[in-house]
Amino acid sequence: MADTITSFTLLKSCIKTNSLQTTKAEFNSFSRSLKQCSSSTFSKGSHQFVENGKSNRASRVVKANALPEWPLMAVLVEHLDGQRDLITHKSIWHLSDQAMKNVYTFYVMFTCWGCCFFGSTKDPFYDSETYRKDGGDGTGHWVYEKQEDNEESSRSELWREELIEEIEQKVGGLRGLEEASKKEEQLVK
Amino acid sequence: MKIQRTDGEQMELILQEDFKYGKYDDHHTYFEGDKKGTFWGSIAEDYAAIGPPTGFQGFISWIFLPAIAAGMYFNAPGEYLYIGAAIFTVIFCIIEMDKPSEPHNFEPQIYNMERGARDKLISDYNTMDIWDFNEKYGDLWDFTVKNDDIMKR
Repeated sequence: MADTITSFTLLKSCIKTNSLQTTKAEFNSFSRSLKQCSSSTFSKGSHQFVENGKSNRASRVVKANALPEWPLMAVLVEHLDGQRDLITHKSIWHLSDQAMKNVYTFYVMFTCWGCCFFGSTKDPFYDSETYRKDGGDGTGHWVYEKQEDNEESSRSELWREELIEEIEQKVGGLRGLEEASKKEEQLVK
Repeated sequence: MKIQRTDGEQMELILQEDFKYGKYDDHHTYFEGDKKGTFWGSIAEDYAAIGPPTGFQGFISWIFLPAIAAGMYFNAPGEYLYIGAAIFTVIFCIIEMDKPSEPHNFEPQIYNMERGARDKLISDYNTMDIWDFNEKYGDLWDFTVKNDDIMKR
């Protein structure tokens, strides 16, 4: 009984809105609207029909409250002549302001607590002997880098010594040559 | 089976098939050691290893999140929750700042120092007034310069 009454009221509203259309095929549109209305009789809440005024392509949005605990539901009926109606059910879920505030509050609180708590802890590996043995420089691959640095510095030191020796030898040789030439000069004189 | 060594000592002879690999040669990939605690025991060990806050600080840090959740469940005004969080943060940080500093509280270059010099520097930092400390060790900020005289200061 209730169902027929709602469908009847729906029908009336449908006719009312459809009467704005051009009366090209009165009966067709009537049956069409009947079909549409009967297809959307499951909605029991407030009905809002939005007509875009085009005769060929009629699209109406039915706002309905089908599931009371599901806050908003929209049924979009797109009609094309000679084709099936396209019915799209849109359910949009809204968080209430209070729920959003709760979510963000808890997020903020957890962040605040986490920064305090985990900032006061330490990484046990970071201070451990396996990581901080003598010679480590605190990087994950410290042994090799340290080793390479040591090798490089000792090698360069060795080279410098060799170079100095070489230079000394050369200088000594030059001096010897000079002295020899001086002696020769003296001898010549 | 005992055998006599050439230096006169008795020695246990272990046959190849009796040798327990990993146990006798201490090789951990064969034998990981017989230290077998429970699952929760290992969790507690890991938790203790990170040096969590203890005492009053530990108590408030454990009570904080449940208190916030309870307040939100019982629809306490949000302002009170935030004020509570601010007080918690201040108290927690005061307790944290009163703790003596450890090596991981400094810049990581401190690990490049010799162990004795580092310990002396950190103990001085923990005991001295910060202004005196800065006067005494202020030139150490440039860690690219080698400083070997920390122990003598």
